[in-house]
Amino acid sequence: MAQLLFHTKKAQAATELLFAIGFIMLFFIMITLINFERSSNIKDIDKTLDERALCQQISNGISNVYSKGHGTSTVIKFKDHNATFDKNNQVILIDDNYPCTIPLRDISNGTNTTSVFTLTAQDLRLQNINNVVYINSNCFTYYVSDAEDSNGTKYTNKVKYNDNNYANISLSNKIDGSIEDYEDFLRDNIINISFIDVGNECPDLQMNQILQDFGCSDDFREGNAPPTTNCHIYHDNGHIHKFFNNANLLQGYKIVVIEQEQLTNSQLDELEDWVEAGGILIYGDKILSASGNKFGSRWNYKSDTINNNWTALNSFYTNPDSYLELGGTINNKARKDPDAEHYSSDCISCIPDAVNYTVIAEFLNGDNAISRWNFGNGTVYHFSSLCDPQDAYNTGTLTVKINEMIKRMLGSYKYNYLDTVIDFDPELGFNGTTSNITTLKYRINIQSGYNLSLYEKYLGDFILKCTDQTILNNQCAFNPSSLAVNQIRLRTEFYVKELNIINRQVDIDYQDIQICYSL
Amino acid sequence: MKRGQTGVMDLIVAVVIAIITITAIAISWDRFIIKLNEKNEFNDLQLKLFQISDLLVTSEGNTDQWDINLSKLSSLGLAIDDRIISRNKVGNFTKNTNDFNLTNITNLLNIETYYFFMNITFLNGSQIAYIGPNPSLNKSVVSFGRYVKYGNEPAEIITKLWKK
Repeated sequence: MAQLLFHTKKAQAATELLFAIGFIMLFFIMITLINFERSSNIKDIDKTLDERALCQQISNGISNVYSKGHGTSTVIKFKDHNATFDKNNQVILIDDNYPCTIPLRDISNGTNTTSVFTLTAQDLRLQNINNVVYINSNCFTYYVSDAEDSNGTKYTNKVKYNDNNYANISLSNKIDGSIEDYEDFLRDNIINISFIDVGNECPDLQMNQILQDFGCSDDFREGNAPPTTNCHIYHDNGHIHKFFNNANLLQGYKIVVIEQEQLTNSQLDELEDWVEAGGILIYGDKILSASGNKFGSRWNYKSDTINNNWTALNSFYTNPDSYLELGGTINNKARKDPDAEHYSSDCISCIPDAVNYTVIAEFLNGDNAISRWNFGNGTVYHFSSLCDPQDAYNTGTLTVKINEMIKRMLGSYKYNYLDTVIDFDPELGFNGTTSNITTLKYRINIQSGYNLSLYEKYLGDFILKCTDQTILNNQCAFNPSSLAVNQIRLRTEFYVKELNIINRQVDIDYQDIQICYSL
Repeated sequence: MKRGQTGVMDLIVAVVIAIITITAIAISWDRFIIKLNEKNEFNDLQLKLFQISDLLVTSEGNTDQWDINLSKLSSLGLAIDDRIISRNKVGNFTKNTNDFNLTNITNLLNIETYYFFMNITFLNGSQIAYIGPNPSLNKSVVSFGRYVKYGNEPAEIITKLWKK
C-alpha cells in the first residue's frame, strides 16, 4: 500500500513538472513572438524615420536653394534610396513609400516635358537657375534677361516666357543703295520691268532717263518673244494686246510703267487685278477716256491749263516717301509746270480700296498731281504727267527722279532684328557640353520669301548660328562660342526682299538657351 | 506533494508578474509610438511653415512679376530682394478676390489640409495686411515671426499653420 502511495506521488510530481515546463515553453514562445513583432515594428519605424529625414532634407534643400535665388546650389548625400519628384502635385516620394511636400512647383530634371521623375543616384545635386531648381540635371535653361529691336524698343517681358504673349516687331523698310549693276540685279533676282508707250508719247530722252541702267530692250515687235533682258519696252500695238491678253506676259512683270496710254476696260481690269496681286504700277497722264475709278482710287480727266503748276506738299518733306525724292526742302519745295492738260487722282470715294493714299504734290487748285497708295498687295504711283519734253523743274528732273525711285524700289527690303541678352553662369564640374539649343517661337505675316538668321554676338562679331532653313521645330542647334562668359548675346534677324510698301510684322513669343553638359 | 505544488505556484506567480510587466512595456511602447508620430507631425508642421515663411520672405516668386500678371504665377514669393518685401505683391497676396484668394495660396504652397494665417505689421504694431483665419485656441499651432523691410520701414511678418 505504502509502495503504491509512493508511486502515485511520483506520478503527480512528473505531471506538475511537465505542466510547468510546458507553461514555460509557451511563455517563451509568446515572448519570442512579441519580440519578433516589436523588432519588425522597430525596423519599420527606423526605415520610416530614415526616409522621413531624407525626404525632409531634400524638401528643405529644394526650398532653400529656391529661396536663395539664381545661382544657388547644394548637394544632398543620397544612397540606396530612390526619390520620385512630382512637380505638379509638389510631392517628393522616398522609396515609393514616404511622401513629403514642397511649397513650390519650379523643379525640373532638365527636360521640359516631364512632370514626374524618379532619381536613384548616389547624390542629389540641386541648382537654382533662373528660379527653377534643377535636380541632378545636366541640362539647364537660361532665359532672356534683355531684349530690344533695332529701334531700341524693349521686349524683354514679352519674349522671356513661353506664355503666348507675343512681342510684335514691325519690319522697317530699308533701301540697299549699294547695287552696282541694276541689269545684273534684275537678272539675278528675276525681277522684270515693262514700259508701255505704244503711242510713242514719251520722248526717247525722257524714256531713256526713266529706264537708265536697267538694260531695257525695245527691239521686239509683234510675233516675237520678249528679249532675254529683264526690262522691256512695249511700242507695238499688236504686242500690247498679247501683253494683256496673254497672262504670262503681264504676270511676269513686277514693275509696269505706263505713260499716256488709253487702255481698254478689259486691259485696265487685268492691270487692276495684277496690282492687287502685288504689282507696282507707275502711271502718268491720260489712262482712261473719261474719269473713272481704277486701281482703288479715282482718275480724273481734266482739260484745263490754268492750274498747271504742281507743288510738293509740306507733308512730303516732313514725312518723306519711301522711294520718291523730288529734291528741295520745305522752304524750297519742288514745283513743276506740266506741258499741257493735267490729270489728277483723288481718294474721296475710294475707301476701302486704296490704303494709305498719300498726296505727294498738288496743283494750285488742290487737285492731286502726284500721289501714292496701296491697292491689295500692290503699290500705285500716279503722276499727272511722266514724260514732259521739258521735264526739268526747280529742284531736279522728273524722269531722273522716277529712275531713282525705281532703283530705290529695287534696292528695298524689310528688316528688323531682336537683340537678346541671356544671363549665363558657366557650370563648373562638367567636362563639356553635349547639346545646346536655343528655342525661337515666332510667326510672321508672310508665308515665304523671308529670311531669318540667328547670330551670336561674340567679341564684336556676329557669328551665324542658324537660318530659317536650319531652325527645326522652333529650335536651333546652338554651340556657344564660349562657355566662359556670363552673358550670351543673340541677334535674331528678319529680312524680307519685297518691293511693295506693305507693313510686315514678326511676332516672337520666347527665346531661351538650353545647354546640356556631359556628366 | 506539498513541495511540488509550491514550486508550480511560484512559477505561476512569476509568469503572471512577467506577463503584467510585458503588457505594461507593450502599452508604453504603443504610447511611445503615438507620441513619436505626434511629435513628427508637429515637426513636419514646423518645417512646412519654416519653408513657407522663408519662401515668402526671401524669394520673388516665379515669375518674378507675378503681381502684374497672375496667370504666370507658378511659385509664390513676396520679396523684391532678400527680406525686402514688395508692396504690390503683398497687396495681391492679401487682396482675397475671386482671381486670387486663400484657396489659390494654399494650393500653390501645397498646404490644402492646413489652415494658414499671415499678418504683416509695422514694428509699432500697426497692421499692414493679413490673410487667413485666426487659429482656434484648442489647436496645436505653429507660428513664425520674421523681420523684413516693407518699403523702407522695418516690419514683421507672422505666419501661422495648423491642421484642419
